[in-house]
Amino acid sequence: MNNFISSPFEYENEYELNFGLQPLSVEGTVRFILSLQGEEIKKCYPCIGFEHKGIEKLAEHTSYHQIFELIKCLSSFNVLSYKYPYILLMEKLLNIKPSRRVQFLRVIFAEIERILNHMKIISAMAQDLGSDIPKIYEIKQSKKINKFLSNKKDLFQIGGIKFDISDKELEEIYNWSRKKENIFLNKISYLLSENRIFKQRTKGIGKISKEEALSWGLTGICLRASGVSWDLRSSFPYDAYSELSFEPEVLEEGDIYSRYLLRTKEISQSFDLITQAIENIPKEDFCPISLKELSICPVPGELYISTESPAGELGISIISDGQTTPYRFHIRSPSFSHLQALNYFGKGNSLGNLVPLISSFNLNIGEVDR
Amino acid sequence: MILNFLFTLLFIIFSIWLIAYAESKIDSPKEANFFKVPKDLIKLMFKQMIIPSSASKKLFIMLPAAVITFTVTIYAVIPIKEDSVVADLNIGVLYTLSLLYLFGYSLILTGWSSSSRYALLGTFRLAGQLLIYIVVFGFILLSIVLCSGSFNIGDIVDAQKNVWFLFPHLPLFIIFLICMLVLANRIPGDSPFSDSEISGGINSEYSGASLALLMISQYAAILIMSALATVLFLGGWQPLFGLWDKLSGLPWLLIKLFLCIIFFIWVKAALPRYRYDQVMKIGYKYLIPASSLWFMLTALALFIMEG
Repeated sequence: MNNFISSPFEYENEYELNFGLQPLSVEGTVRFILSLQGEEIKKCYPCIGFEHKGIEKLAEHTSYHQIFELIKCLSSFNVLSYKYPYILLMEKLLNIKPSRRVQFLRVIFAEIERILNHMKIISAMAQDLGSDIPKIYEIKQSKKINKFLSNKKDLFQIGGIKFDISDKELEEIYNWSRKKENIFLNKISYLLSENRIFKQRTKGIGKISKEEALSWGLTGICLRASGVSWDLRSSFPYDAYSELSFEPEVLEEGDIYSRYLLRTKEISQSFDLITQAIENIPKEDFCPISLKELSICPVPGELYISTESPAGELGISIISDGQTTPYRFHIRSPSFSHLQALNYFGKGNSLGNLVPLISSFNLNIGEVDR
Repeated sequence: MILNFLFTLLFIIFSIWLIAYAESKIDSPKEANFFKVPKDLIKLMFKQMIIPSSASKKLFIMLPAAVITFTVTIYAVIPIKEDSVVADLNIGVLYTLSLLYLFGYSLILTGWSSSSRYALLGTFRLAGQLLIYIVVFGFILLSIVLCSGSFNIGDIVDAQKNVWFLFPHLPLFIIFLICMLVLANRIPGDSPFSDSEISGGINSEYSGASLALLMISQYAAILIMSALATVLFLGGWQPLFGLWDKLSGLPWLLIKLFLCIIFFIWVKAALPRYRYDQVMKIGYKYLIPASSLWFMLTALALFIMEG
């Protein structure tokens, strides 16, 4: 907590303002110390550490199965997608190849969670800008989606999934995804996308060029909105993504509006992916994984695997020395690089622009303070 | 006179109740309950009032009461039906204008007296907005006064007997609608009270009974601006083109008032808020030239028509 502004004020009439907890789109606790001149932001220091859990150090003393419970703490919202890289990594370390049906099922549920997350970010951004109605449609819509995700918090396991999904349930998901019935998307198309005020608040603001995005280590939506075609699902396909046909959505402008627009496009892309996955899913090769069979003791070595989480590139690196606990455990979180870039991109904006800028970055403080 | 006064008071209380209910319906559709509003109010009244140590205490406590007084007293000059008004002032238009100024100034002082940076930022934003939009409002009032030939609001309503001012003054009415949203500090012009940027702005240091007063005064401002829209453009208690003549008076007035209040709530539900400098830009670049031009055109048209 020593990141208070220690340098003296450089500008005339400069003053400090504590800015924290107001943006609703930030999941978790963080505050910013703004240095303002009038309403213009001169410095923007994020103060992190309110949720520090020490996951990386704890993981060095926990067995590989217990690390699952630690990873759950990263995000209260996207439970499945945050477990995803760890599962892939353990499977590679142990040389397990999950059955094809399992791979497809994982893709389906990871994409459902992506839809939920993008909807949440969009509606929170609208709420930060003063429009409450998208939130109501989001709640209505996510009730339907949560029906598919209920009791599935522990679905992803090393080597497979915990229980098979019945054909009836898959058919329900298929019917829902094929129709693309999403009240939320229909409503925000005229509540936000075509709204003159929303456009004026977001277009041309918080611009990130290609080079800036790459050099600040931005990933996910923020990178693709700046014109870089980089989606781990297609550039380094894992699980069943290699068998699905899709192109990463890319926009060129790199402002807040294009990041918002890209989220809406990715929602409909996820619908396509779910539909494709259910169409191609093999019927009969599911073998449930029993945890007792796996006494995990991987060979010594070092491995890094990353997946495309809703927020960006989420990677996990493990150094194993052949024992039951990892020698070193490290998480590469997308929100960490997004948060540190805020000082650079926030500078020179007015206070009113900072709120949508923060919203568009999809910050998840649980993974920053890990 | 006393009956008028009592009726107006009851009407104000009931409409504020309705507006607050509609607000809560937007915020939390499931929890909204018609009797939740008075319950919340009573709860707020008994809460402890936290006064910041650096605030100027007398002003901090007194000003919310002043804010609500200035808003509600504007309603005294709004006629309910023919020759039935609480205060039949010959300078009714000037009275509303000056009270609107006082309403704005007392809000500015509330922000100033709480001596917090959030409230201060809100104060500056409000002062900037008020400066422009009251001028626009003045131009609108002047055009209406030119047409009716009187500063008395009762006379202004009488002048709309044949044709409401809405029809000849349609562009002015649109300007008035924008101006009304900003003067009542509502979305899209509510940047002085923006919760995501400056955590409530002017309200940010208030709690308990004085917060309740400030909230009521914001709803009262909606009611007052709707009443002014009704009186200045929609013909007050007058029926439309003499339709349903028997209902002229209170029923017609109520219909128009509630249409205006629905407009406020509808806008709040549908739109995001403008950034502070964008509100100022609209005022300086578009509304002041447009309203002053319309004032001159009105004067010219009247001069030609009367020879």
